[in-house]
Amino acid sequence: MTTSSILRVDNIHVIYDQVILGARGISLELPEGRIHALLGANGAGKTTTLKAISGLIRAERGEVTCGSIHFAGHDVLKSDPAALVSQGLVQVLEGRHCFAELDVDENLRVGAFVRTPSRADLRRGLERIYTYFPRLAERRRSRAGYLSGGEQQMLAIGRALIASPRLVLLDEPSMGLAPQIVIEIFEIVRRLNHEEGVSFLLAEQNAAIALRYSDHAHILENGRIAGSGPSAELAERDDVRASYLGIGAEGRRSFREARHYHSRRREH
Amino acid sequence: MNFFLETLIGGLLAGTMYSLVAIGFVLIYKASGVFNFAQGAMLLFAALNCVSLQEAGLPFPAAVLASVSIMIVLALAIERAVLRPLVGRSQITLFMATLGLSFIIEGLAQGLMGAEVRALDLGIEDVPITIGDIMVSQFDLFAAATAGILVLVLALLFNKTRIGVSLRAVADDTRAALSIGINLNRIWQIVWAVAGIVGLVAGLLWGARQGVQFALSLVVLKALPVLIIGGFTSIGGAIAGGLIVGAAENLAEVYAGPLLGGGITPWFAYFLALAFLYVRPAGLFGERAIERV
Ligand SMILES: Nc1ncnc2c1ncn2[C@@H]1O[C@H](COP(=O)(O)OP(=O)(O)O)[C@@H](O)[C@H]1O
Ligand SMILES: [Mg+2]
Repeated sequence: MTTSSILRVDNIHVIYDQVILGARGISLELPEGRIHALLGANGAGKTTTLKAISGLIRAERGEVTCGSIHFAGHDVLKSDPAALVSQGLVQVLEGRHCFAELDVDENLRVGAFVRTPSRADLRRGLERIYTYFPRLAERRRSRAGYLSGGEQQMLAIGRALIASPRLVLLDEPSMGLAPQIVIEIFEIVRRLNHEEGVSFLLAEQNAAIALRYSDHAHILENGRIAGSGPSAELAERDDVRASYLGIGAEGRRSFREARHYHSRRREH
Repeated sequence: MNFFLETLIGGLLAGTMYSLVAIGFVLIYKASGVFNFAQGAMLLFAALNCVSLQEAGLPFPAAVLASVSIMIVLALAIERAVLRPLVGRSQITLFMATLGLSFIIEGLAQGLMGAEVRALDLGIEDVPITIGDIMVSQFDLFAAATAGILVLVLALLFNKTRIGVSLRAVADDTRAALSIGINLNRIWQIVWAVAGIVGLVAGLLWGARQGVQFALSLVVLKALPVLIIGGFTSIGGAIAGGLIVGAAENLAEVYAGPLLGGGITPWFAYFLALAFLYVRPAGLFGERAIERV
């Protein structure tokens, strides 16, 4: 198992600004070619965990104070993000973060530069992304800032994939998107996983969709893992259904709770 | 009417020199979110280097090439010694750092190369030539053409090269750039080097006009109103701002100056900038401020 795991995180603790706790003792293991999910409410520590893995945490004055992170067998705790991207580990940031002033084509190109591709490779890379995301192909020359939310999410994923990663850390891909678009995006994630063997670690507040499209999931609460298991099993567990899927023994969550949950999602 | 046109054109041409100075600021502000107070010192340093090397016997093109190399080394040093250690600090911290940097560079420049005024001859005589029936300064034309070529080269760099697209990506969203493996340190090195080279060109043009001396670093104060008018984040804005300031200054001096007792050039640009601040606080082409990681 250890040799075939693309990612192994052992008991990491993360602090911001030398005081604020972001994660306290997270461990997880992702076998190559799988899709795993991190579930949890806003502030649970999902983004912190992903950024600790990708090294981006240091750009936000965060620090992994103890524990270890191995990517494809190598200790990457001290690696800088650019080195990790060129080794095949790339994060798609929460909130998409496309380059608004650049057009779709340029957004994708710039994602490939880390590998210093030849012109021909670059062209092939672009065509590959456009086959997965035909909607983007139609808008090649539009500025990213003018795309819809769903298109921007596709662009952010495409921009990460063009560097041919082995592992993609995908932070809240469903955020603020209409349900059909969310399904469209998760279907593409599944295809990329099946057809190209890309592994995914995805963070989601939308537990229903994440459990449907992942093999295995971890539930985060207050910077700790509160539960883990195969996604299909978790989806059947009563406590998970009550706290994360909004379906309890007494039926649906109260309206107020549900509304609170939804408005929090939207504002974040 | 001809006199009006002459005044206007003279102003516009002189304005391109302001634009040049402002472009150096915009480049650095866009890529690293810093208002680089040291831009004036860099400009002085570059021009001093060039005249000193020329005085030492180097032919002009060689002196320019050597000065370009020196500006590149300076950019590498600044990135390593100032920007990298201060990454993630507040804007005011970075601004203070560039303030300190400007004194260090000025001190270094004058310590090494002396404080007296040096003449710089670019081989362009400052005599008027007549186009149609309008008289324009030959030097102004040359300066404007140089500025135009420089802007064209920058536009090609930004739009047609990988480094340029990466640069725009960093200016657009630094975090996202980091997440896809763009090396921020290298981008900062490149931007500061390009700003240094733009500073060299501006320094040579200004130096040829008013002598290479300490006061050259004060052309920064001319760039400030240009930036307020054009916005801190747009090269197009810097160009437009420079042209507006140049033209308005010249027209005001000629037409309003006599009414106000003359000599309004030193403050008129600030007056104009203040007026713009009321109407368009972000400048003509200004965008929201970018945030640096
Ligand atoms: N840049 C930051 N600086 C300080 N604290 C942060 C920062 N990012 C996250 N935190 C804190 O870390 C905890 C976990 O946040 P986060 O990882 O963003 O959660 P999630 O992604 O699950 O919503 C929260 O308490 C949050 O306030
Ligand atoms: Mg998050």
